[in-house]
Amino acid sequence: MKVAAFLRSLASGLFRRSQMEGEMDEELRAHIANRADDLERSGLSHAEAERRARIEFGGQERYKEECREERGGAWLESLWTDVRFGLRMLVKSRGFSALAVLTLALGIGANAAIFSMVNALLLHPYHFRDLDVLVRVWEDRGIDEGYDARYVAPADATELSTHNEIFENVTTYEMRSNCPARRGHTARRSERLHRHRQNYGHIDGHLRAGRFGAVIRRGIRRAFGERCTAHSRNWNSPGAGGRDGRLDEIDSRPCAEAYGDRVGHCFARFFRHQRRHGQSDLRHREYGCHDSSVVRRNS
Amino acid sequence: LTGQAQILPGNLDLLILKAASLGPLHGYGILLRIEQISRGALLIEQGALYPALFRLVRQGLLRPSWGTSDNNRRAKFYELTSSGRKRLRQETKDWNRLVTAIASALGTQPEEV
Repeated sequence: MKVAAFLRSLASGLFRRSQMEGEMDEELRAHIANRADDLERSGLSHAEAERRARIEFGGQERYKEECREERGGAWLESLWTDVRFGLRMLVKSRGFSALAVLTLALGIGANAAIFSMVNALLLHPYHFRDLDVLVRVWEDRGIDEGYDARYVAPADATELSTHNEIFENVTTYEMRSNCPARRGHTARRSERLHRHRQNYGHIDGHLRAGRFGAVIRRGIRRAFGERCTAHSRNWNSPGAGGRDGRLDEIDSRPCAEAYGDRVGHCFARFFRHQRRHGQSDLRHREYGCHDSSVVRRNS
Repeated sequence: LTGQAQILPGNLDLLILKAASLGPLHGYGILLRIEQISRGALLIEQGALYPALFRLVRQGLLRPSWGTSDNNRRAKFYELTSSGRKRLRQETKDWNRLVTAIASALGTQPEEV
């Protein structure tokens, strides 16, 4: 009942505004007239009675405003008035409007970007343990064939997973595009991903359980023994990827001999770097290792 | 005015509900009825009556309808709804409890402490 009365009052205020205003005026006028009649009956002149009645009533405009607020929907009415006024002003000064929109867009964009970074790094980081040893591996064919060329074929992924002794576990993942123009492409990828999941379901389980980083770390330590450890560094950042000469200190031969070509596959950039310095002449297919770890001597 | 008491905030609604419970009345009629039932002891600011009436209508405690007053003038009459009647009973009970408590506190003598 109360809700119905409130909605009725709100609707009246919004859709029958002029009628409600008229009724309110009439009601207040009737009050003053009734009071003036009473005062006139008590002996005052008509004019004096009306004057006294108005004085006794108080400020009509103030009470009307209070009545509008009590009627409900005043905020909505005020909002609508402000919106109309704002739109009129925007149309009137278009240069200012464009500048304001641009400023807002830049401000919102900058805030969104900063928040995304803070969210990803501080508030909701990945839930994997030992993130410093989680790495991404891709096939490096030596020429830039675009992003798609970096995908590892299912057969190669199987081989990498079963023969490598650096990583205890290897899994695959797929990035999808929602762009309609690439839908056919995405369908093929999805099919491939499905096959991957069939093959690596147990490894996906590790990934979801957050144990992937841990098994990689154990794998690396087991492969390199006491001499090497993993560090969380960007491969391309100075001081981490060999630009300070640290990679030159690593003797790759024992690793390659002990663990076969797959060692080289997983740390392809390492060998490429050395090849540039004439220290290695590996001809096999290479894989890139990105986004996190380098392996270096534990001095 | 001497002998008239200012209404405490919040009590005007209770008085309006009581006045309307005695029969449908227009705004000025409610004012007169309150003066009558309080024997002229309460001073009501006339304009302040209307925001309170609008509030009670919005809360569904009063039902307004247009009619003709005794002096043949078009006027809006207010009638108590069933929710208003319920609210009046509850508010009256609360008020009596408060008055009893305050009267008891104010009537306390030193030897009773």
